[in-house]
Amino acid sequence: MAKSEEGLKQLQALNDSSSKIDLKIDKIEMPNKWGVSNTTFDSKGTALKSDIIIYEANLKQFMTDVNVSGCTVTADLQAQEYVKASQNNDLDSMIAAVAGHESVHSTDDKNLKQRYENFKYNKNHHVEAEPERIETIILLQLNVH
Amino acid sequence: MKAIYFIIFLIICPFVSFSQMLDKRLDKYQNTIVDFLREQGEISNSEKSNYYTEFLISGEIGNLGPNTKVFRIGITSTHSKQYLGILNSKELKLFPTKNFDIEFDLIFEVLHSSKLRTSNENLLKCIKNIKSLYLTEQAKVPTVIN
Repeated sequence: MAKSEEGLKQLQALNDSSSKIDLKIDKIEMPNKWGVSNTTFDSKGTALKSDIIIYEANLKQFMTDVNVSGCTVTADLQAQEYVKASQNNDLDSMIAAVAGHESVHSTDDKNLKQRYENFKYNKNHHVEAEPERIETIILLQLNVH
Repeated sequence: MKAIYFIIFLIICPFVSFSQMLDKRLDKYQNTIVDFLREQGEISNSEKSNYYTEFLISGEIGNLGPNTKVFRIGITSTHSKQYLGILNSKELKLFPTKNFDIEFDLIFEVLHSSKLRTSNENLLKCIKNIKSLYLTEQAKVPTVIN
């Protein structure tokens, strides 16, 4: 993460967070899930702690799919960058991008509040836009090198 | 001395933030819910069940009398979905929340066998909430990338 400007910002956000956040890489296969953030909230919706888990085996499987089976380049910029990282066998960049995505879910106050409201009150806040944007920026910054 | 500590505890208690995201009435079903979420592919096998219990969350979407409550139940994990749960005096019934047309027969069966004590208006409101939950959640697959 620290190799990209945006990744470094996210690392700082994780470090500065008022809630406890653990970041770990799990080697187990978790069908199609690349990363999650499990969060506990108090009754007012304030985050108390988060566990960010990156599913490394799934990222490796994606790399294999790209490099062995080939891959059609889609119009989606983020997908193109993941294909590029896979072709460069750059697992670290992919992990950094997913960690950056989950970092926003775990540190951004607005995102946390909206996630809580979606869970608790069946609201329909779109909580993925900012994490997706950060994820793509990290990939773009790392794929340049 | 013990009495003084107890009084201090009572005074500070309301100001301490506790994490209780799951309705207390569902507490005894925590393991059932975690097993169900595992079956649905929502959570991984690498962690023990008790790891996930603290992340369980629920919201009541129907109160159909003293013995029957309807909940939205899930885990506060990003990219996860919420599931329908009906609690009556006998059991907690959880639904995959994948297809309203298919699952409604079973939902109706569970409601029919429960001793409902509620108004027609309240029952209709609850069914509307259940439908709304399916509209939001049935399109979601728990295993979405990221």
